[in-house]
Amino acid sequence: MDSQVSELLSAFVDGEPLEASALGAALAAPGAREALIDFVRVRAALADESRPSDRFVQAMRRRLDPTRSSRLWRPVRLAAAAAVLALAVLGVADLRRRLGLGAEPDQPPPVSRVIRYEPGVDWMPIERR
Amino acid sequence: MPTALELFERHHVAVFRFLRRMEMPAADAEDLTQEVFVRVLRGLDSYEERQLERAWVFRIARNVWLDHWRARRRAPPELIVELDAAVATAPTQEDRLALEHALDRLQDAEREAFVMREMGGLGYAEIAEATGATPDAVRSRIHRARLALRQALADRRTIPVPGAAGGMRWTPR
Repeated sequence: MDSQVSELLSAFVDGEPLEASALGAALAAPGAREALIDFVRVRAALADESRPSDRFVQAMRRRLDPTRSSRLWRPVRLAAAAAVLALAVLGVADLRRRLGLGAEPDQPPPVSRVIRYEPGVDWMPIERR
Repeated sequence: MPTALELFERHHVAVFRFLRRMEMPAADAEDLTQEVFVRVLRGLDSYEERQLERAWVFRIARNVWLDHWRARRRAPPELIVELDAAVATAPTQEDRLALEHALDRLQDAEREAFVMREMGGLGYAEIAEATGATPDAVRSRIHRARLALRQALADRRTIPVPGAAGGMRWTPR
């Protein structure tokens, strides 16, 4: 059988686009029927139904799932964000304290004890000359 | 743009079968399938929508397979024969064994194109993109592979076991 005919039949078996007239001529060629049957037989004999194991597939799904990945890291991200926020607040407060910004004006301390001095007892008037 | 998980769901079985048929035991095929999709994940940024998705994944699979054999300095592969009941029927067990041997004897380029077509389900254009060949070259390679396999099938039918009674057939081992 002509090699071109055989190649065309091979492409036909693979579902590749062909010209109808060329396919008609190829199918009419001597030996075309046998070639087609053998090509199909080869395909059937080599058919492969193997699959990777379920354990492998599950592991890969876990590894490749972006939402799962972000779910796993969410608590860590939240904790990190809270820590950064707390540090920022403390830093700003400390800076304000150091710069004296926002502090109240100086006031005398509140009275805690009253000491009284009696004139003539605790102190004597001095006459000026 | 698809996610790595979506690409995995769509193509992992075909990639696994491709690697299996390219002389990989099942465990190695799983390892290499994992490597393929790890590279897919890393390479998603370079993926362009206009590319043929399956061809892109298979180009990565092909590179992984080539890297694997380069690392092993092309040690002679062991023939993989699984005689499970699901595939032990049509046409015959012997046909299958003869074809497995013939497949192993094909040139790499022919086997690669043929396996991508038969196990991966890729079209000629996709195989061309995955392998860097032209679609015509792919068509020719697959045809040559198919002829060689057909010949192996024919040889098995016509070569009797030397000295054996009629009806027995020689089976390559």
